[in-house]
Amino acid sequence: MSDAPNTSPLAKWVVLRWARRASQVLFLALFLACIFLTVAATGGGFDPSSSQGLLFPTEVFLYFDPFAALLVTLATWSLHGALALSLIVLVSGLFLGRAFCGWVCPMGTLNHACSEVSPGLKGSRRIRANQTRPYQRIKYFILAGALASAALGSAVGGLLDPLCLLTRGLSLTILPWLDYGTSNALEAATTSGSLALQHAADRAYDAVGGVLLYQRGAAISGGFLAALLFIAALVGNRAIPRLWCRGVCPLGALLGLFGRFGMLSLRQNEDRCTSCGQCDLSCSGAASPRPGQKWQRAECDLCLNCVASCPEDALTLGLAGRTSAHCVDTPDLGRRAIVASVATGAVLVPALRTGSASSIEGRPDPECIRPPGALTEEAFLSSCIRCGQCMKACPNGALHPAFHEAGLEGLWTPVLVPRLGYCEPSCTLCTQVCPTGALRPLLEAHKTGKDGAPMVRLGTAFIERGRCLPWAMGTPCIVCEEFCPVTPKAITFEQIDQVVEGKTAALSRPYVFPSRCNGCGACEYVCPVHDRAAIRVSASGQSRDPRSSLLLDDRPDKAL
Amino acid sequence: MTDDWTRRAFLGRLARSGAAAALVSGAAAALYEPSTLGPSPTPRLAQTRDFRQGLALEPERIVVARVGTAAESTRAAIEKLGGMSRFVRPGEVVALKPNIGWDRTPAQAANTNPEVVATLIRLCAEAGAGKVIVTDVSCNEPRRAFTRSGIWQATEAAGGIVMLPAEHRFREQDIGGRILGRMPVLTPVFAADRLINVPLAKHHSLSRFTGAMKNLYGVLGGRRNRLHQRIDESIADLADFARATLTVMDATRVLVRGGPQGGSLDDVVAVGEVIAGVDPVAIDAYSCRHIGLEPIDLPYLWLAAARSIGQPDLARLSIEEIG
Repeated sequence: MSDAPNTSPLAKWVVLRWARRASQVLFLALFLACIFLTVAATGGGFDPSSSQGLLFPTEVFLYFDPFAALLVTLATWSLHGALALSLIVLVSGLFLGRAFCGWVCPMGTLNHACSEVSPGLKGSRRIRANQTRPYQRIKYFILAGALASAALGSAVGGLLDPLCLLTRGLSLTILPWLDYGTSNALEAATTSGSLALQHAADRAYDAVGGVLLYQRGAAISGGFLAALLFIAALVGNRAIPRLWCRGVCPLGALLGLFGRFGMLSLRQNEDRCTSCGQCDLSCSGAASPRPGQKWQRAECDLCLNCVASCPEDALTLGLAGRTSAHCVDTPDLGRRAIVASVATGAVLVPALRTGSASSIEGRPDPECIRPPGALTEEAFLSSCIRCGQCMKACPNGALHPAFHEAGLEGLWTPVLVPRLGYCEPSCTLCTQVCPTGALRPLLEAHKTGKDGAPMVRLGTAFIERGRCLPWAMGTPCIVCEEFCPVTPKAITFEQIDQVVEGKTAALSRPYVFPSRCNGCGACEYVCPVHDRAAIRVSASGQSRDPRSSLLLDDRPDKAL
Repeated sequence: MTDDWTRRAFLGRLARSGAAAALVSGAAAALYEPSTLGPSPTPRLAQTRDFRQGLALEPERIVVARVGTAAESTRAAIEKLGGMSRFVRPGEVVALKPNIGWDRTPAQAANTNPEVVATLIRLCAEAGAGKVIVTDVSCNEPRRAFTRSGIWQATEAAGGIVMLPAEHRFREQDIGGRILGRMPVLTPVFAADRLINVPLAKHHSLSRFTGAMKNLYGVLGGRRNRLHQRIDESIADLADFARATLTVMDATRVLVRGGPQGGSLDDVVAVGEVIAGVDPVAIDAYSCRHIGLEPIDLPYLWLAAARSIGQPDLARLSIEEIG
């Protein structure tokens, strides 16, 4: 929509705008690569002892997220590890304002693409949609509320963090869809009867199956619900370009506020302006670039569309502290609204915690089985930003976004669903990708309890004798014992001869040794009772919380 | 009202709606199936697969090699049997079926020794095999099991092809057994010309010993956790369904307790044997003694004998030991 430039200053902006687009594409590609490569390093190039890790730290984007860092820091009163890198983005915000939003943020780029490529609005309607409006203040209120919740110990604000939203959206929605489509395409190619197609499918699987497919199938419990917010954010661009970035994004709000003393400012030359509207038409931040309007510094993401599309050279971006009275450095939010937002965020914490089942305050949900390395529930909810990295990393598809299991506050935090996948004892990937330390990094020895390390327990397996084949139906089975990965096995059995209708059946009836069980869920996963397994894991006995210990022998100080 | 209708418009519309009606009825007629009382009949088309066709073999012989490394023992055992060219002809596709069930390292002795697998790949290549694939349906996540067992790496180093048990590589087939009916089976195995079964000897909580016959569970997909309800019969069914060209048992180190998954090195005993032969029943009968059992303890061996699959009576076998 930009007219061909005819003077040299314009050419400069056009080139810079292309640089901005290149930067957006680059960072989006990097982000996608990270998501796709959040898989275990497996293959012929790895010897048995080196298959523990990821190819590289795929959670790296989240380290540069100052909103997530601030949430966790406020909630835990410590700046966790590599989250310190987010200071780079925050400090850059001091000089460049929201350049991160316009040049780097992959969620911003997706929103940008959805607004610009085949836009939902054109012409005067788009100019109207691009005016600075009161709804843009909502993101500051969200930021204030999220930080207030964090100060009271809940990182629930991570639900609205753009990088978490995107990681979650891709891992729990788009990738499973891709998996579904790819699997079906492979199946169709294999059964097509064409040998060439069959071979192509086979080769394609070997080439890309490792990154494109969930190895244990792509069933994500609650994945669709977790997807809705992400899809809504993208569809919102039809109504208002970059609606999410302008109205909701708390990271954008944070950077906008930090850009108050920004070095780069828009200079508007009213004498040259013909009010053609090109700048308003293309403004991605609804920052009022048109001469005569007050430029909103905190809304501008430095996309350079206005300067690159102004045919009259009436707009330039240059070094300057403040331009004049033509600029609004910080949005006028109103003291009352801010106080109300902070109060809402603060009240939200007790409201969420008392208003639903929650493992905090000693009201555990049996299905709230956390990944290995999880902190105690309260500390976990202070650190988990709901980014979904762990769920993507799990090679067994065992981790899923909680819906009801962890209470309202725990929405979309990770829980283990053993019926869909179990926790492999040799695997520590989820703990490696967790950017905030909500899952403490573990070694294999922590999970197996070998080499003197105390064993991490996720819960305990319980046998429902009424559904168990040997216990209730006189039928041999004992698959749970076979699959139990701990040594010595946590499931043992007693051999008995049972007389059923005059015939003697030799049966092995399983028992669980709670002191050996690590709650990995392998038994529940393989139990042949197909729907509700006859052996099920619940969170009792989880080592992260001494209060849930089952046995008197398990002294809390021995638990990890 | 009649003003709106011309004859031409009327006929045109009639033709178009007629065509639409014909299309819909045609499609319905083509797809119509009358409802029938009772369950739909499934044709029984058992396709047992004999991978020994066209070969002159001596099923009564088993060779036990104990010479140095796993690779050396494997090579010596095959040589003693008459060399790989007795089992594999030039240009043939060979499927190796090791046990790659678990996310365990080689030292934990839950999966077949990767050296044995690599040596067999090389022997097949030397015999002129067109292609050697290595496959199994793992119990744990397959990519991890193939990697951590060391078999992925060993296979690629030896020039074999790793075939992961991807969903599209299964086809439902009638096993035609007394217990086993329709099950998804791993197609690369059944598309191959020859099948070499490469199990390892280890303890198993339910079947007591898992070796050559039980290893064939690993060509099945689907809900094989139900097979445990009639484990002896289903093991015999499988041995009947797929008759491997050759069986090479890895007993270089043996998991004597805590099987089939193991995990503790305390349960692993170094035995240093590789046992090769055509008859899986004979090889299991010989190998089960490494975990302190006798052939009489394993019902599935005798079920197999009754079906003329093999010979579990050690006295009737010719056991040749090397080293």
